[in-house]
Amino acid sequence: MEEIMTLKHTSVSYDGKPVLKDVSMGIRKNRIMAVMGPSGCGKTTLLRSLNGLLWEEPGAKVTGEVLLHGKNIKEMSTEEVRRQVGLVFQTPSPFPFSIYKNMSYALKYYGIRDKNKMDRIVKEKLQMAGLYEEVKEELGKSALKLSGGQKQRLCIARALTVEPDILLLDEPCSALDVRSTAVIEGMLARLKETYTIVIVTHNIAQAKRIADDAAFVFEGRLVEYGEAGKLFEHPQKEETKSFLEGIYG
Amino acid sequence: MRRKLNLLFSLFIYILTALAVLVLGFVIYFIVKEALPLFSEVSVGEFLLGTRWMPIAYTGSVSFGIFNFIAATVYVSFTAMVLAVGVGLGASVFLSCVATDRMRGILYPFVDLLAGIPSVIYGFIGLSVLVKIFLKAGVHTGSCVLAAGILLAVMLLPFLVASCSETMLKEREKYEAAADALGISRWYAVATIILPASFKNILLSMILAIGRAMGETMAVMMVMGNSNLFPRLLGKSESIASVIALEMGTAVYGSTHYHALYGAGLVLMILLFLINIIINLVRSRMVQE
Repeated sequence: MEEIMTLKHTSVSYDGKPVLKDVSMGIRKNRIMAVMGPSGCGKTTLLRSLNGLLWEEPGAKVTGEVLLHGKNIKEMSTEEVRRQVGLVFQTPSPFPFSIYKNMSYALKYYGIRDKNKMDRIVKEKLQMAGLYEEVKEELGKSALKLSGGQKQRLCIARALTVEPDILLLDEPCSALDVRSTAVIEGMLARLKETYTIVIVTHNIAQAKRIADDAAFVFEGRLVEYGEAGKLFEHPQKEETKSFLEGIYG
Repeated sequence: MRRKLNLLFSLFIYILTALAVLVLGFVIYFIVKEALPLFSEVSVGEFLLGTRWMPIAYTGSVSFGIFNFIAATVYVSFTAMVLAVGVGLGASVFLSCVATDRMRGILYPFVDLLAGIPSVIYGFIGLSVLVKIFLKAGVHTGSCVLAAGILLAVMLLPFLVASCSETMLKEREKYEAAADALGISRWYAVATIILPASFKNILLSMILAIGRAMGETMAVMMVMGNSNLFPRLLGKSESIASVIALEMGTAVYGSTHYHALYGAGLVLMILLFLINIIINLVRSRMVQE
């Protein structure tokens, strides 16, 4: 199966303290990959190394290669990497504008001026995120007035407006209630037809529900990585087993 | 026992709070009381709109018109505000969005230090630097409204910069990562997200600053020339606060002059209340939207 992104011996350290140690893995196209692990194990760092967000953090040092479509992302412009690799954060962070303006913000930045085209993209992406029906009457409403789950779906829709190939999600449901979580999970299952999704989560049940591939990260190391079904049913490593049994929480 | 102690404590707190409110009430009462006798001799319209201020009858009759002083106070405050907001916003953007944590740690104390300089020192610097420059540039005697405006702007800067950069830093922490993840450049994000998001708080710090500017006496008095003239950028003028400070010492207790100075103080206070109310109205309307 086609690998859309590949990590080769990627290590990350903050101010000399290693956070991610020699991770090599491939991310396969049109699948949902779940990255699991206890708090502070380096999951988020792994995610951030994928779209170059670490380059701008003072003190962070990245070694090894991250390939996107076989090309090292360090040789690409930041803008190019960010457009192809979307990222949604743990806490929903809509801009303090209207829903429509949130959606059209990046489009405008990337030079789309045609109002009809913009309207079409905004509608299409909101539909993809399963938000359009709920907000179609009030696209002019402030995005800050949406509920937590709606905000997060708006952020996902916003990330989709720049047409990324991969969507990275950093514990997108950890601040949401069960119902919103279910809505987002259903949406992700639909999105994988078009996009490749990498989701960081410490919620094992969630990973079981939605993941095609799963990775377990522990103390900065990639302990185990493979098809989700296999990993959950027959974990190869002791540490993975313990984690799945809930020992590291 | 515990109950009694609680009661005693809450009573104590109530009294202290009442004391703070009482002080304000007393200030207002005292100023109004001392200002009122004036209006039995001079009409309100004459006082507010008259331009002739002749508290003692050297030549001709006495006259109490503070229109020019009011105009000068507003004029110099807004001049200072325009200058300070421009520089202050630039500095705030730099401190909050460009400077590293280390740089901020070094630069913030300097901004704070600026706030700690006594106004008479500012006045002195204005007199020995600004006024001289204006004199060389051809302004008669060098004292002028613009000099006072510049000086006031420098005095307002630390307040504006401290509160604006704090707000912007917060907004940046909220939105920067999201903008970054979309590949938006830093300056575009500053101009289109962080500045608009900070706008309300910028307005609030402007209210606080203009309050300070209107009441500022010493530095303004030292460089503005203190002549009863309608304010022009490069001409002399005199603010309400300056008139009070300059003349209160020589005004005979209980004279019309004395009451007129209190009247001027009352006008200054009302002016400040009005500006506060207007800007707060504008602000709350924006919050509603």
